[in-house]
Amino acid sequence: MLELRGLVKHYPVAGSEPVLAVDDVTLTVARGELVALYGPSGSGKTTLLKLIAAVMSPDRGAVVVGGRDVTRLSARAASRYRLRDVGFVLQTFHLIAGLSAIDNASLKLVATGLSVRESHQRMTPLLERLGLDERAERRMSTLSMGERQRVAIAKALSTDPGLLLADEPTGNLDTRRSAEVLALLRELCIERRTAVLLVTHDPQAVAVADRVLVLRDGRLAEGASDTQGDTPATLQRQ
Amino acid sequence: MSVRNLLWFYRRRVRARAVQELLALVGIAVGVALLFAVQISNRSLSASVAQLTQGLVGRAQLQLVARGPQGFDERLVNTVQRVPGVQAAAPLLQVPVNLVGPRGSRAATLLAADPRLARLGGELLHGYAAGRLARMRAAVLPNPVSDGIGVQFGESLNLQVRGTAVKVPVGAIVGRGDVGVLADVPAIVMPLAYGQQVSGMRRRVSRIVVRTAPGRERAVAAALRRIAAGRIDVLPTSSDARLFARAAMPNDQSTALFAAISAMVGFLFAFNAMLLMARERRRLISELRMSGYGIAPVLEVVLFDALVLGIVASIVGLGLGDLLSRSVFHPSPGYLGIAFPVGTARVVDWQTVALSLVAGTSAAALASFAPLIAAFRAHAIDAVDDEVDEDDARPLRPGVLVAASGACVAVTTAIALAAPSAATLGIVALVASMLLVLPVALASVIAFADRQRRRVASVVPAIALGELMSARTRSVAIAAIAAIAVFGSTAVEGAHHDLQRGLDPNARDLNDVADLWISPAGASNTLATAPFAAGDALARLALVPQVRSVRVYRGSFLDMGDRRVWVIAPPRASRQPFPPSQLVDGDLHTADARLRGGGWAVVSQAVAQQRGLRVGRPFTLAAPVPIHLRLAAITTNFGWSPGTLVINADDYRSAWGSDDASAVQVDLAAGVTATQGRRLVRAALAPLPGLTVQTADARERSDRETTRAGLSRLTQIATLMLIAAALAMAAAMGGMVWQRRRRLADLKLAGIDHRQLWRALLFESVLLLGVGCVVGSLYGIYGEQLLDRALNAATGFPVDGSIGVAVALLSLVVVVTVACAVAMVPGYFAARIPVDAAFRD
Repeated sequence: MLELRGLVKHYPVAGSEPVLAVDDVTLTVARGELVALYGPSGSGKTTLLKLIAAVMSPDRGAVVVGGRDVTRLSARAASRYRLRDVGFVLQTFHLIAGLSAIDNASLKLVATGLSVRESHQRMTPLLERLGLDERAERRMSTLSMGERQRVAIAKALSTDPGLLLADEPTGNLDTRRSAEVLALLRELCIERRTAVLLVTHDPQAVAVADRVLVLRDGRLAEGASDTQGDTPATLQRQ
Repeated sequence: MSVRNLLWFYRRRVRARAVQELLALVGIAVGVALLFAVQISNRSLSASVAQLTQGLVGRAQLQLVARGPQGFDERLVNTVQRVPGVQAAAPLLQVPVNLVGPRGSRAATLLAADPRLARLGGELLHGYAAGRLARMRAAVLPNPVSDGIGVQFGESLNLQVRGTAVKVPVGAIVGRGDVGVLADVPAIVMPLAYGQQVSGMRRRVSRIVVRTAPGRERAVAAALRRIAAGRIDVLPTSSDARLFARAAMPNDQSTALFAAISAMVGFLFAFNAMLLMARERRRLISELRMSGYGIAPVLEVVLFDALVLGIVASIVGLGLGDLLSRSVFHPSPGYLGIAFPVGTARVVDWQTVALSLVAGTSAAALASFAPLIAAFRAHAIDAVDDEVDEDDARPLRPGVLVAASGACVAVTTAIALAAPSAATLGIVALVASMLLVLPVALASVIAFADRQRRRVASVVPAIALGELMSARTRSVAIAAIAAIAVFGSTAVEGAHHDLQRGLDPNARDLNDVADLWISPAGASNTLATAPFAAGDALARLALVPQVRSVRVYRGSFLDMGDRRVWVIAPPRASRQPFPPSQLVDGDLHTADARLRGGGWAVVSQAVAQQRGLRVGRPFTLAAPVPIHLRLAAITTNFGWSPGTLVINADDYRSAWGSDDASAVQVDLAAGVTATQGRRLVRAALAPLPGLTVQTADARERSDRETTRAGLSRLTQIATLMLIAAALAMAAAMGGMVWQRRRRLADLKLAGIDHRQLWRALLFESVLLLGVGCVVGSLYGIYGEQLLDRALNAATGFPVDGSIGVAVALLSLVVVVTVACAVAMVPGYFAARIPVDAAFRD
């Protein structure tokens, strides 16, 4: 589903040499696979996500999603790509406080051209699956952090994207809720055959991932590049 | 916390939210500017009259003042000089004139004095050696006057006075450095003898100003009264300022009322500008609390923030207000310039500056308390939680708000019915009612729109309504700015229109009594109060076959107590001696017949009230030759606020002791149009260039223009309020949109493109402004009714109390259009925020 081929990205620095943020990264994530991208701060994880999200273009290499290279999309096409083909679950939930859970969850669907009523109908099973059916009409301020993150997951999956990008999705949650959310991501990934790239610091994430890749100084760590990566068990041993 | 620490905190915070802080600053500055500009305009005229009196008569305490334009014998000054206790006495001639130069004409006051006036210490003749002044046979012109008519030193101007025209050389042009504030007075200054000669008032003066020895003022006044023998007024020199204050009072009261509304609007703009930053301030307070700060240091930080912002914004507002008052809102004496030599100097006193500073700073400080209270009531962590509503304090129930709003309307209604002079309070209550009902109206509209959006296949309303529902305080603050702007301009401009509409029929009735009017030229003679010898004109008119009849009209101003009353003396044969539409008390036909018969007068309400007159009762009129009259009827004041008195032209001749006319009314033969008649009469009067011939229509237009000029400040206030509203709105909308950029980036990351986001921002703006403006319009129309009553009570003018829907609609359209246009720009740029902003902390 997702294929990164020799991605390179530099950041210009005024009066100095450009900083290499992503250095020749190659990886693939198949449908129904959950890959955890592990790495310290400044290792290039977020840059990698931005490249995949077509928020920025790489200096070299390709980002192929569903067989299409998204590195040179126009602004409009990139917007459509993010709307239909990719879902995002981030540390901050990106929800509108004044709207209900179901309104927030179906926001992307409405943007695709469906009416609010149709979107709600489409979202209801997913919200039930996420255990939010009784909270669907509640406004965000009345929901717990874990519930909000589940709303964010519902929103990300609302357009049935083939790829889900999760950036520290458990960063605002306690250990118990983190575990719940990670388990949920794992289950949805399998059920919906969605490719999930999970960028995280959370050691619990390692346990749920099919593969764990480690990014250091913009490069996938030795032995983790290509398509293999570490298994959860090896990483936990490390 | 030390000031140094506070400053350190402040600098760090400002760096982090510079744009929001700047927009709040603009909002406060606009409010302060509005308040400051209105105050300057309001205080300048009265202050300039007081300064003018001081500059003219110096240290003189008393004066003998002629009761009519014919003045009195100048030799009286010698008698006055001999009164024990008189240190100095100086004659002064004051005549309304028209100055004509290559660049145009200008109404002015001829001030003629001799070196004795310089000894009293005034600035008028300051710097002119006594001998030089006496020998001059030329005029001294203030700089603005010479510039206005295009006459330079050494050139001659054409002086139209009392129906004649004379060439007068300009001997000097003076500025503020020479004669102080007198330079701002529309005047022409001459040596006394020369002035008497050119005005045809040989050996006549208008007043004698007197300086007494210390402690002798009362004795001298008594002696002067004996000399005056009941035919000349003996008054303190401050009486001019008092007369002007009385004349300007209704205008000042109405302007003050409108200025109070502007001040309130300005204050609310400033307050709302601060409310827009409520979230940021709440977040700051909560972060401080989470860091372990107690209430005292938090208070210090918040108040320090507010004070710095308030003071800086107020200083910017003072600069902006000063600019506004110079370019848009300059003091204009309007129709009062007909009867008073009023300067147009801008007078800025410390009270005006202090009030504006305090208002801006206190608005900032007061508005800081809202987030402070909210922050202390809520959990500290909530303020840094993005999904929590910006203002999660429990809102008041709609029922409570509507009930409180109704109570405020009831207060306003009671004031309108029982005490319209307390209109400021009524307006405050009305604004309070509006602000109480606004959250309910906004919530209802949002709820309705939210229901409707479910049928729509667009993400635009969902985003817009979601934002509106999550930020109640901010939404209400912006809608309130729109509502206040539309309310203010609708009420003020609507009432102004009603006033104007009430005066228009009066202008028609007063002038439609003859086909043509012949009178001395010049804007200062708009009310036909300047006398002229009409014999020559009457003889020439007798030779024009198309003239069916001519009648002599007389009129002038007469000081009655503290009122400079407009005396109207129509001929017995006038079509109607006074406008029937203006009758307030008495029978029209009886009053008409009595007036024509002689010995009867019609006075305006305020004059009747002040003198305790009732219809049918006798009274003595203190004219140059006192006359006994009876009251035939009571009318409105025909738009002359100090009051009016109508007698017939023959009674006037007896009481003023002069055959002079103020105008000649001409009726044309059948089949001759007014335009044709005017051309023929002008040709016949060609050798008399000091006279002007006007059709009744032209004269009516001129009357209307004069009253419009007098009321122009009200229009300026309404216009300024709209400008201020547009600026405040620009700041508010800009602030609102800017604060939201991060969330917009989040939405873009979700695939919602910038066009949809831009449309969502516009939809939000239209909804907010639409609700605000509609509520403001409705309340504005009610405010207009209250102001109509207040204006009628304050001015005595006839006021047309119709409902100003057109004005309300215009204000609504202007504010919505301007604000939406303004919101489009920041909205456009905010919607184009790079998507990667969503990844930033």
